[in-house]
Amino acid sequence: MGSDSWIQIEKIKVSRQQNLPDRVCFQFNENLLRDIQLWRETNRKLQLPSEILTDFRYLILLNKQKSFSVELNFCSFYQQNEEKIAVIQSKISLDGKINQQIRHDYLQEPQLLQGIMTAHYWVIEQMLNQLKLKSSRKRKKQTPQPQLAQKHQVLSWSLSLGLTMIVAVILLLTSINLPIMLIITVLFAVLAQVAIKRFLLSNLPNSVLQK
Amino acid sequence: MTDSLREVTALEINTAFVEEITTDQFIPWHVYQEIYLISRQQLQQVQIHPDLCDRYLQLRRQLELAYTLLLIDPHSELYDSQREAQARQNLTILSQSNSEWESLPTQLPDPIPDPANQTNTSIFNLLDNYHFLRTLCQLGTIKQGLDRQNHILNHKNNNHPTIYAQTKIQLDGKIFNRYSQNILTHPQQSQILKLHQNSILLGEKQWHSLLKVIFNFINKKRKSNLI
Repeated sequence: MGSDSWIQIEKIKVSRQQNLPDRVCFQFNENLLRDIQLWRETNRKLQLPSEILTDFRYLILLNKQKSFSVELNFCSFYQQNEEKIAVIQSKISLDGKINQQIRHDYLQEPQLLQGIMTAHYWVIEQMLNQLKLKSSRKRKKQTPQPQLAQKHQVLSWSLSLGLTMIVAVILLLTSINLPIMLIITVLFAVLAQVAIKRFLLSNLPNSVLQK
Repeated sequence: MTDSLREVTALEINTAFVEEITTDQFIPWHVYQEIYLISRQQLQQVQIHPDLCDRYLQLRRQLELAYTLLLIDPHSELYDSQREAQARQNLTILSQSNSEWESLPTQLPDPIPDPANQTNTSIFNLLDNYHFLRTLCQLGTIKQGLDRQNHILNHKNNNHPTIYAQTKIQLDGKIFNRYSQNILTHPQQSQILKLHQNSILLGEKQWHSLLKVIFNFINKKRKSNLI
């Protein structure tokens, strides 16, 4: 159920080193249309190569940056007798404009045109859906380190401060130089706080932890 | 980008049955030059149909007006205090469509900058300005429509004229349908209308999906900024 070469993202040359993604092209032929109909009927999900998805995501993000509205351009080509003809082109823009161009002469073959149109939209839907899923899955992976709840933060700080005070008093009694004493107390406070946090993290049940 | 989302007042689905699929890319400098050069003589030279001349000229006036408004706006990066006085004078004339605006000397920068004569606002600064680009984009779309109409009027014996169907669904619930006249007599009328209905249903669904994808991106970015 691969989709290796029939989905392509056309790139335009912006400068000598830069090629920017521009139009998403589908190369359909008779066999592929048949396959797509089968996949649609059996509700199969299209396996999009990660390269295509990355380019697609890049296309959307670029669009977001440079224009006033995100505009995606999808074009379906049909191969008939060694000739690849652009049959349907959809331009979907975020500000609500949807422009469709359909080749006039394909009106003479209604079944074929309907087939291409259905396939065209089905693939677009698959691409948009997979983009959504991937980004929300990515979000779950990148959740921050579990952080302690507010009250536990307070607890760890107060404990460490308490211990620090005791250490400070001991140091005072042993009459070490003031600046050295200050450095030692500050260091101790920070380290104690970290140690207590670690202790709490490893020993508290997961339900207490906040994501 | 959120500005453009705020401007979504309607969903507009256009289906066009064309001879050949074309990609219209918005190339700012190109559009700027074309509109900059519009004048009565130029329109005659390129043989624009006389019915459309006035509308082309309006594009030129709008371009000048947009620039003038940016010149006098202190919040704009194109603000120019030296030329503000002249700009304000021009403003009253420019804002009226049937005034003598054509005889006003232009304040717009030359599309092809003269290296010997550096003006304050170079063309590149202008084409970097978000507000000006937005106006330019809108004017470009109108010009494309005019060019198409011009082509149709000048080539009366067109074998396969483009057939258009448009449905506009507004946020306030109103739905507008517009069709080319040649659909009424077209042999495959029902098929055309059916395909347009398909475009509406599927286009709407996909616009919705696109919206969700963009919101996903924005949310993800927002969350990663909070960490």
